[in-house]
Amino acid sequence: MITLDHVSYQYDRQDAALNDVSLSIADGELVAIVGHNGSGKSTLAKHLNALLLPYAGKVLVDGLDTSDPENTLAIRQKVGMVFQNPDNQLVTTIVEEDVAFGPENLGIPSGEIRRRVDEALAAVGMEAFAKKAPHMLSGGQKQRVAIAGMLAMNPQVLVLDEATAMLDPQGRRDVLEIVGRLHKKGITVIMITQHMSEAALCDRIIVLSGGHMVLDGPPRSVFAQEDILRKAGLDLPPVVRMGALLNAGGMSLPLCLDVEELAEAIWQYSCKM
Amino acid sequence: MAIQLQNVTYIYMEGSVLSQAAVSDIRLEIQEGDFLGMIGHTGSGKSTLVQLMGGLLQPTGGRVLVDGLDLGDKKQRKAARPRVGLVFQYPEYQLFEETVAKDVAYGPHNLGLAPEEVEARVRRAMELVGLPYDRFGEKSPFALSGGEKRRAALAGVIAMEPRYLILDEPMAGLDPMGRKAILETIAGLRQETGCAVVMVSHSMEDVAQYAQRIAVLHQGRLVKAGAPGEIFQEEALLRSLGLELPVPCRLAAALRARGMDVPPVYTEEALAAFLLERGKHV
Repeated sequence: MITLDHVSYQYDRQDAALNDVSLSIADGELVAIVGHNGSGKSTLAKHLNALLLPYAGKVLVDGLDTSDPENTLAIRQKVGMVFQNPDNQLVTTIVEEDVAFGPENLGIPSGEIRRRVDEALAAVGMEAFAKKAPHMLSGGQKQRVAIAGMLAMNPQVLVLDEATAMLDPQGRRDVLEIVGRLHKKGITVIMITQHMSEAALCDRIIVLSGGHMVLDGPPRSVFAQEDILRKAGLDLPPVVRMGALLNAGGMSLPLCLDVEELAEAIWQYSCKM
Repeated sequence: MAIQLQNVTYIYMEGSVLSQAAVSDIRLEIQEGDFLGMIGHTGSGKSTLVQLMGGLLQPTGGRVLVDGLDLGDKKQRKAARPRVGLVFQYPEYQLFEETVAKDVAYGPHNLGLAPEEVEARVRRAMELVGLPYDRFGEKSPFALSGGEKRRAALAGVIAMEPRYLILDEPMAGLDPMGRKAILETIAGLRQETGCAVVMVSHSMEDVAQYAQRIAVLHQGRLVKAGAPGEIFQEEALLRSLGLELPVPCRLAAALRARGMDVPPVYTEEALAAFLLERGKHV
C-alpha cells in the first residue's frame, strides 16, 4: 500500500511540480499515471521510492515514511523503478550479471541469487540471452532485462516511468505483455505513460495536469471526461475517439475500450435500426 | 525534381566478418511536394535510408540523386545538402545556443546568407512552429518545455528552407498535444512552401492521416510502396511483418467479419462518415 498525503514538490525556483496530491494505491493494483509533458507524473513516480522527498506532505510505503533516511533501503527493496531510456539502466557487460547486480548488493547468498536471476530472466522471456552483451540487444530487449533486474530484487511494486516511450511497437507489446503477467502474479504495477491506449489497459487511471491530480478512476469513467482530458493536454485513445466521433454524429454507443467491443456495439446498434 | 533512390544498397562494415546489409536494392522516388510515410520495424533500415537521402552515408551500391545531383560525388553532394533538411530522433538534444533565435539562425548563418535574410528566415521558421520570435527569440532553449524544445529544433531545420524535409520519428516521446502540434506544423509547412516530406513513424494512425504515399520496409528491403488505401488493404502482409494496422482499418475488418459491407477506409473520419451515412439509409 502506497499513500501520498497532501504531497507537494518543487524544483529549484520553479513552479510547484506537484501541488497537494493525495492518493493511495492498494496492493496488486494496475495503475496508469498520465499527463502532458511537465505535468508532474515523473516527479510523482520518483516519490514512490524515495528518489525525491516531498517538500510538503508525506509519502508512506507500507507505512514507512520516505522522508526518514532509515527507511530508504527497505522502501527501495519494495518499490522497483524502470526508466525511459534503456541505455541508461544497464551497467555490466553480460545480461545475467546485470540482473544479479541488485541482489548482489543486498548481500544475498549466491545460490539464491542464481535462482532469482534465472526466474527473473524467464519472467521476461530473456533466458536465451543470459550470456549476451546488453549492447547487442534491441531497445525492447534491454527494457526487458532492466525489468528482470528489478524483479530479481523481489519487489512488491514495479514503477515503469515511460518505459515504453522509446520502444518500437513490437518492443512495446512485449513490455505490456510482461506487465500483464506480473500484475496477474499479484505485483502492484504503476505505469507512467503518455500513450492513452496503454492507460486503457489498466484498472485505474490517474490524470495529472500542472502538478494537480485532475481525474482518478477506471478507464471508462476517465475517458468519459473528454473535456477535462483535453484541457489537460491529453487525447482519447483511438478506439474511444472513434466511438465519440460516431456518437457526435448521432449514434448512441456505450464507451468501448477495444476494437472488438466497439465493432460489436456498432453491429448491435445497426441491427436495431 | 525529386529524390531518386536507384537500386540503393548500404552495407555496414563492408568486407569484415561483421558486414551486414542495412538496406538492399531500394528503388524509390520522392517527388517535389510529396508526403511519404515510412514504416517498418526497428532494424528495417529506415534510419539508414534517412541518412542516405541526407548524404550522410554513401551507398555501397546504387545511386542517390537529389534534383539530379549525385550524392556519391563530393561536389554535387555539397550543392545538394541545403535542399535536404534532416530532423533526427530527439533533435532537441542538439540545441546548444544561448537563445532560441541564435539556435535557429545557426544553419542559415552557415549558408552564408546576409544577416537580414537570416533574421527574416528565423522569424518565419519560428512563426511556423508556433514559437513567435517576439516571445521566444530571446529565451534560452533550455528553459523551454519538451514540446517547445522539439519545435525549436524543427525551426532550425525549417529555416534552411529545404525542398525536402526528412524526419525520423519526429513525435517520439511527446504528449498527445505536442504530437499534434508537430504534425500540424509539418503539414502546414508543406502547404505553405510546397516542400516534400518524408516521415518515419511508428504511429500507423499518424501515417494514415497525413501521408499521401507509404513505403513499407522490412529487413532492409522495400516491401511495398503506394497510396495509404493500397497499403492498408494488405492486412495479412502488414501483420506478417509485425506491423499494427490503424484502428479504423481494424474496426472496418471487425465489422466486415460480422457481415457488414465496409469499403476500404483507413482514417477515422472516412469510417465515421461511411457508418453515419449508412445509418441514414437503413
